[in-house]
Amino acid sequence: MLRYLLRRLLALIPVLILVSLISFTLVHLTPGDPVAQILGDDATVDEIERVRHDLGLDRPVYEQYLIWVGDALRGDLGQSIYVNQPVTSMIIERAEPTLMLAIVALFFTLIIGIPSGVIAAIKHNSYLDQSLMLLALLAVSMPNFWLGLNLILLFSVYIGWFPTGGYTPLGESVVGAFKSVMLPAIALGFSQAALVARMTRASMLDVIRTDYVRTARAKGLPASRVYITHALKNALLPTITVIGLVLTVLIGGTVVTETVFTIPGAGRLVVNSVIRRDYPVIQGAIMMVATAYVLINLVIDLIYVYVDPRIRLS
Amino acid sequence: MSTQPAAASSASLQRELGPRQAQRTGPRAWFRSLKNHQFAFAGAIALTLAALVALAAPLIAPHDPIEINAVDRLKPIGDSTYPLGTDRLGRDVASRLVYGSRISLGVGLATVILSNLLGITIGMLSGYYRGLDNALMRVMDAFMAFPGILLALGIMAVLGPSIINIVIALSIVYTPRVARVVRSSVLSIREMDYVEAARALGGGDARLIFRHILPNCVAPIVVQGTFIFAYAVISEASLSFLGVGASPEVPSWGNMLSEARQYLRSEPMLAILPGVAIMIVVLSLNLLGDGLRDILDPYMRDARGVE
Amino acid sequence: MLSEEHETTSKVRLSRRRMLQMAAGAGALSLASSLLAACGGDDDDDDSDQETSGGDSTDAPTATAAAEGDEPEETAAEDDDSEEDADSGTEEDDGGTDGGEATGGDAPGVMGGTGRVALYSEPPTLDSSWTTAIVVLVPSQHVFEYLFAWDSAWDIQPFLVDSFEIAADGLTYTFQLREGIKFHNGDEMVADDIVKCFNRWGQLVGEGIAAYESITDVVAVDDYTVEISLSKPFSPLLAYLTGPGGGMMVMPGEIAEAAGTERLEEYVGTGPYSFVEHIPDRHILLERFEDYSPREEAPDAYAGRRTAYFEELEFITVPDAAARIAGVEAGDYHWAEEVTRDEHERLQDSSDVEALVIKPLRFMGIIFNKAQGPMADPVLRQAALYAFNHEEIMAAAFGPPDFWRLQPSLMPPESVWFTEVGAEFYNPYDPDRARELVEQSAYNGETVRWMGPSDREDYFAVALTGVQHLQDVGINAELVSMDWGSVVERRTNPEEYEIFNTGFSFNPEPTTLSFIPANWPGWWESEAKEEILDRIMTATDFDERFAIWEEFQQLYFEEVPAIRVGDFFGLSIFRSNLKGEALPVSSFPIFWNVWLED
Repeated sequence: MLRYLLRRLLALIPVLILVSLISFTLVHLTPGDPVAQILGDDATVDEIERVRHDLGLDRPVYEQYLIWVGDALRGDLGQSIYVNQPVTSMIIERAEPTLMLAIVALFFTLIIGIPSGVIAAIKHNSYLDQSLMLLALLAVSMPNFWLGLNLILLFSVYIGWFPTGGYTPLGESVVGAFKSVMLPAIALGFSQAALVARMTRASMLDVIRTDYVRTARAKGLPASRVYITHALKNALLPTITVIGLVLTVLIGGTVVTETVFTIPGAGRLVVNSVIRRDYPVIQGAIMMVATAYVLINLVIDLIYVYVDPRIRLS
Repeated sequence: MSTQPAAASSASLQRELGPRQAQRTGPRAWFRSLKNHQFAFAGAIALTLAALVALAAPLIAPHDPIEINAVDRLKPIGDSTYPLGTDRLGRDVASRLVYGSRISLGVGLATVILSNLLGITIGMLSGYYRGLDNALMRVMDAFMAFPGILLALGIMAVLGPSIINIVIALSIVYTPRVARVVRSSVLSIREMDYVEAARALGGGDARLIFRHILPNCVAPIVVQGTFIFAYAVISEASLSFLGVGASPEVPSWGNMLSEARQYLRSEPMLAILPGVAIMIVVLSLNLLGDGLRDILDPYMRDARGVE
Repeated sequence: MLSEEHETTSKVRLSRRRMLQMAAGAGALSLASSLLAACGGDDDDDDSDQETSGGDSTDAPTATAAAEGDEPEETAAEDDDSEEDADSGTEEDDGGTDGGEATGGDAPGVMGGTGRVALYSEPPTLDSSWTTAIVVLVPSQHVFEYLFAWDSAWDIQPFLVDSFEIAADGLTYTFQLREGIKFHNGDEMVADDIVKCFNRWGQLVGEGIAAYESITDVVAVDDYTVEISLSKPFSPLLAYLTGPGGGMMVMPGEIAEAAGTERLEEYVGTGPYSFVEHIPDRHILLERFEDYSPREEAPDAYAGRRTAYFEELEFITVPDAAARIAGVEAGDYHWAEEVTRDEHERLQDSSDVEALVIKPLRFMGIIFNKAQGPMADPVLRQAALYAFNHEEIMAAAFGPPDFWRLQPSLMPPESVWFTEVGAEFYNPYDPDRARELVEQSAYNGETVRWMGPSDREDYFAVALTGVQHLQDVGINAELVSMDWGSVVERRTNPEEYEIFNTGFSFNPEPTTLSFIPANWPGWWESEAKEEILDRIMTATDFDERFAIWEEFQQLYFEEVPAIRVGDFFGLSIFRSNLKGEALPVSSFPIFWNVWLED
C-alpha cells in the first residue's frame, strides 16, 4: 500500500512539471497588455512603457519561467501585476470561499443525489423513477450559469432569502457564510446531483439483481433491510470514485458560478486574471488548482483501493 | 408502447423476421433497437430537426441576424415585424435563434470530429505501442489536470475570440478523454484471442488496428461523442458568458445569453429562448447518448433479460 | 458541466403517454422560475416619457433625493461627534469662494453605519496619480485631497490651500496652506510635504510633466507657504492641480519621495476617510478619520465642508451589471454605478431605489490612424465624416435617447468652453457625399481594420455599427474583435489598425483632451495644431483663450483627426433612503455628506 502511494506520488511530478510548462506557455502566448488594464483608457504611451519595464515584463520568456519555478519551489508565487500583492496570499485568501462553495455543493449533491438514486432504483420503472430520471437529465442539460441567474432572481431579488452575491467569511458569521454560499452551491451542484443520482440508481440496480440479494429477498427478509443494509453498501462503492470526479468537476465549475454570484473565490480570480493578463496570478492559481486536482484524484484512488477488498487483495 | 425487455423484443423479431434478420449487431439492428428505445429516439428526432433548421437557416430566418437596426431595439415578442422580438441592437431574435443553431451544432460537431481524430490517434498509439504509452499518457494527464473550462479559457485568451478557436480550444480539452477511452478499449481488445490469431497470421500493425481493433472501439467512442457534443454546446455558452467565447456580433446562443444577462428582469425572453434552445439540444444529445449506450454496450444487453 | 467519465447505465423505458406527461411536468419546472421572474415584479409598460432627473444642458444635475431640499448642514455645536470642531484652526475663507451659508439649514444627517458601494471593476490600487482609471478615483478621493477642488460650476476653489497669489507676469505662484491639517498618520501637513508631492507629480502624472516644462522651481518658503517659479506663463497650472479628476494628490512628503514613480504602497492622506484595507475582489474598506479638518464653507460639489456621516465605507467590486442592480434592489448595496441604461424605466418605478442619470459622463470618439494606412489620407477621413449616422451609432451603443445626445462642440454644453463653431460639419450624414469623397480620395479598396473590444458592450456596438456605415459607402471596413487590454496595447502600434474608438472623460480644461498630443494613438501631427496649442497655453485671459479654442475646433473639423460622435450619460442607482448629495456634479460620486435614513 505504501509502495503504491509512493509510486503514485512520484508519477505526479512529471505531470505537475508538464502542467506548469503548459500554463506558462499559454499565459505568455496570450496577446494583450496587463498594463493597459491598470492605467485606464487615456493612458499615454510613455506611461505604459514605464510600467512594463518596472514590472520586468520585457525579459525573455524562458528566463521568466525559470525565475518563476525557482521562486515557486520556495513558496513564492510572485507578485500580482494588477494589484501589487503577493500571489500566494491572494490565492490563500480566496481558498476559503471556493472550498466552502465546493464542499457545500458536494454536500447538496450527495444529499439529493444518493437518496434519489436509491429510491429510483427501488421503485424501478415506476412513475417516480421515471420522473426523477427525466428531471436528472434536464438538470444535466441546463447551463448552470443560467440556472444560477434564475435562482438569484427568484430567491434573492423577489423572495429575499439569500444575498444576491458576495461572500461572508466564516470568521465573521457562520450562518452568513452558509447563506451566501447556498444559492451558488445549488446552482453548481444541481447537475452533479443528477449525475450522482443516475450513477447510484444504476449501481443499486446492478446490486439488486445479484444473486445474493435475490436470495435474501426470496428468504423473506423485508425489502428495506435488504436494500439498505446489504445492497446499499456495495452500490455505494462506484459512487466513491464518482465523488472524486464530482469534486473536481465542482471545483472547475466554481469558475463560472463565482462569476455569476460575485463570490471572491479562486475560480473568479483566475477568470479575472486571464482577462487582465495578470500572468503571475494566472500561473500560480492554475498550478494550485491542478495540484489540488491530482491530489484529490490520488486520494480517491487510495480510498477506493482501501475500501474495495477485491482490489486490495489482488 | 410496451416496456418489454429487449431480449423479448428480439425474440419477437426473430419470430416475425426469421433468424438472419434478427442479428444483434450491425447498424440495421441498432436502428431497430433505437426505435424501441423511446427517449433516445425522441432525442434523435429532435436533433435531426435542429440540424434541418440549421441547414435551412437562410430560408427559414425572417431577417438578417446581424443587421443592426437601433431604431427597433428591444421590441417584445409578438411584434408584427419581429415575431420573437429584437435584442438591444435591434436584431431579430428569431433569426438569431435559427442561425445560432448553426453555430451550436457546428461547434459541437466540429469539436467531436477534431477531438476524436486526435484522441483516437493518440489512444491507438498509446494502447498499441507500450513504449509510447507512458509518455503520451503523462501528457494527457497533464492536460486533464486543468479544469476544462479553465483550459478552454486560457486557450481562447491566446487565440482570440472566434468560432474556430472555440472548436480548437474545446477539442484540446476533450482529446485526452477520448484518448483514454480508446486506449482502454485497445488495451482490452489486443489481449483477445482473435487479435492474437490475426497477428499470428502475419497481419501488419496497421491492418490489425484498422480491421480488428478499431471497429470494436466504435461503441464507446460513439457514446462518448454524443456527450462531448453536448458538453461543447454548453461550453460555448459558458465561454461566451465569461466574455471569451465567440466574437460578440456572432449570433451564437451563448452570445445571446450573455447579452441578455442584463435584461433578465425587463426582457426575460431574451435569456429564456436561447437557454431553452440549448437545453433542448443538449437534452436530446443526452437522451440519444444514453440510449446508444444501452444498445451498444454488450454487457448491459445481456443483463437486460434478467429483469 | 457534464462529467464524461461517468459510465452510468440508465434504462428508462416509458410508455409514450407517461413520457409526455413527465416531459410536460419536468419542463415546466425549469421554466417556472424564469417565467415567474418574468411575470412577477412591477413591470410597467407604459411609454410615457421619462423625465431625466436633472435639468437641461446648462445646469449641473443633482440627485433626485437631494432635490428634496435636505441640506446636510450642521452647526458645529449641535453635532455629537467631535470631528467637526476639534483643533482645526481653519481661518476664514478669502474671496473667490461663494460664501453664503456656512452653517444653518435643516436637520443634520444621521451619523454611523457602513456605506456600501458597488464598483463595476476591480481597482488595482488607490493611487489615482499613478492611473487615471475612474474606478480608482472613486474610493481614492475619500482618502486623498488636493490643493484646489472643483465646485458645482466647475470653478476652481482653494481647498488645502488657504489663499494664493499669482504674480502679474504669471511667473510666480504663492500658495498659503491651511494650518493644522492632519494626515491620517497624525503628522501635520506642511509646505515641505507639498514640495515633495510636486516632485512626484512632475515625474509621474501627464499633466505634471507638461506643467514642469514651464516650472523651474518649487520651494517651501516657510512651514505654510509654497512658492512656484516658472520660466514662462502656464495658464492651466491651477486647473492641472485641481482635483478630483486629474490634479495633484496631497500626501506626507516622505511617502511621496519613497514611492517615486511607482505605485504607492501606503495610502495616507488628509481626507475625511482613512484607508483600512484592500482585499482585491472582496472590498476596499475605509473608516472615518476623527481628526479631519473640514473647510467652513457650505459644501459645493467637491469643495467646501465635508462631513463623514458613515462610520465606514465599503467599496465592493461587482462586475456584472445585473448583479449590481439586483444588489441595490435587495439592499445589499447602497449605490451602484454603470447600470444598464435600459433598466432606467423599470427602476424609476421602484420605491426602494432611485435612478440617477449622470450627465455628461463621457463622449465617444472614433480615432483614425493618421500615421500610416488608408486613413492617413484626410480626404478619406472626410468621407468617413459623412458616412456615419451618429443617431444610429449612439442608439446602438447607449440605448434610450435619454442617455445620449448629439452636439457639435468638443467641450460639452455644461462647460464654459462650449462653442458651435464648425457645427455644419457635425453629423452631416450624407452617404452620397461620402461616396463622392471616397472616389476623390486615394483609396483603393484596402482593408480598413477597426478594433472593437469584445468585452465592452457599448464600445463594441459603436465599432459594429460604424463598420456597417463605412461598408455602405464603399469603404472596405473590417471589425477586428479582441479584449479591451489588447485594444489599448495595439493602438500604440500603427501597423495594427486603422480605426479604434474609446470614451473620453470630461475635464474642465480643454487642452487635456487625450487625442490632441502627437504621441497619443492616432498620431495627430499637424503644425497648425501645434501653433494654436502654443498660443492657448501661454495666453492667460479667458476670452483670449476662448477665441483660440474656437480656432482649434475649426481646425479639428477640417483635419478630422477623430470624430466626436456624441456625449453619453450613465445610469447610477441608489437606495431611496440614501440622503445627501452623492452626486453634486455629474461626474463621480462622493460618499461624504451622505447618510442613510431609516
